[in-house]
Amino acid sequence: MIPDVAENTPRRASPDAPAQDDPSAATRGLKSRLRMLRDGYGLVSDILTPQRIGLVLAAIVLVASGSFGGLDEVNTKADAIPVAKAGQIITVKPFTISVTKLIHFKELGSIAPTKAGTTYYMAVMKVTNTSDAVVSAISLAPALKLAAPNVAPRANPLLYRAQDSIPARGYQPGVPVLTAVIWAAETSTPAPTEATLTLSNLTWYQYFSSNAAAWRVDVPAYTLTLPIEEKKAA
Amino acid sequence: MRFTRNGVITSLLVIAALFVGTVIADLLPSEESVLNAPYEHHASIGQPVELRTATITVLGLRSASRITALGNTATTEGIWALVDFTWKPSAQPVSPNQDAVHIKTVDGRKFGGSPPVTNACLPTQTGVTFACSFAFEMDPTALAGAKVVFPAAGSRTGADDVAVIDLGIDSATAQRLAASTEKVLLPPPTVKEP
Repeated sequence: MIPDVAENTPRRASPDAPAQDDPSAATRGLKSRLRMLRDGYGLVSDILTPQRIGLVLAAIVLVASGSFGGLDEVNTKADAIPVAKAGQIITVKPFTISVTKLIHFKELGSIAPTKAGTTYYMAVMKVTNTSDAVVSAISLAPALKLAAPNVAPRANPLLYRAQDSIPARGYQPGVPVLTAVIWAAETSTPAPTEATLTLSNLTWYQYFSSNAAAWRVDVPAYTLTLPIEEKKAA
Repeated sequence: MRFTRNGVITSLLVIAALFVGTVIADLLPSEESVLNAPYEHHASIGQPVELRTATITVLGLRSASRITALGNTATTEGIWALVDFTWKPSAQPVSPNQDAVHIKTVDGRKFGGSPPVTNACLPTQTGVTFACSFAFEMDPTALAGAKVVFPAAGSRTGADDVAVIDLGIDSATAQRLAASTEKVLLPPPTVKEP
């Protein structure tokens, strides 16, 4: 206020200075930033049209996803399981195994007693544990599967120490054990002349809810097709 | 946000301090790992070890190419290591759990678990000393420097007393043990004293 002007002098309104707490001040600042951006885009809008920007972004997304395998062919058929031969030393984690032969018989002493309607198939293999600690035969049994026409094994096979004819308990690290793997099955006619063995890897599985851990059957490692020898009755 | 030199230096120092702190925290044992670790008693052959459940003394180690117990014989392509020991339960008639006893070797491998032929160290009685033998099928190359581990109770994991007995096998002894062609009968447990 100018003190030396007469009171009835018409006064011009105060200049357009915004008050301290005027809410439109912030929006006015934002508007000018937007306007700056718009003005900046306006300089290149003839080259960088919205469609071209969209295309460039799409190309970046494709290249980025392709670098992580997003453009690879979808794998519609499962990887074939490697085929092994009799006598070949194969790695079936955590073992190395060499399957020698496959035998069919109706009875074998107390290990495989005679039962009506039951027949037995035995695979002879040398099993060596390559891990750091003992692995039980019970863990290995479900990893060994036998398949043949008209043959349906009843359950997991039983494993025996072939040279001692006693049940195999544990496979110690680095000690090869000649193992007889015996499946009991329903008698089938006609008896098959060959069978396919599938040996699967084992994986050490740690349970989340407790500290327990155990060997679990993982993916198949090898298959073998062997002729079935008939054991002559004693 | 304004970047000042002091601000940048402060942020870098904070990040460095967090990193160093995390490394130190990772290296220190956690309360759980300390509480759950087994309590090891180290001894050698002939020295009695007083565990929570019993006093055990390993008398010696012999080897065999085949072992027999309860009418069954087991051969091996490795070697059978027989640990002879005495076991005296202190408070209750417990017996050593053969599944949990194992031999650990310098290369970090563990040999143990139920053998295919066994003579369990049963039955036992409190205050009575029993002489028993456990057989372990082993890789002959792992004998040198091996130690036998006896847990106090049945379970092989968890925080409990564990006796770690050095079998005193040097490389010459290991070669002699590995070359054994003996056939050994696993003896049943016998009372040594009183």
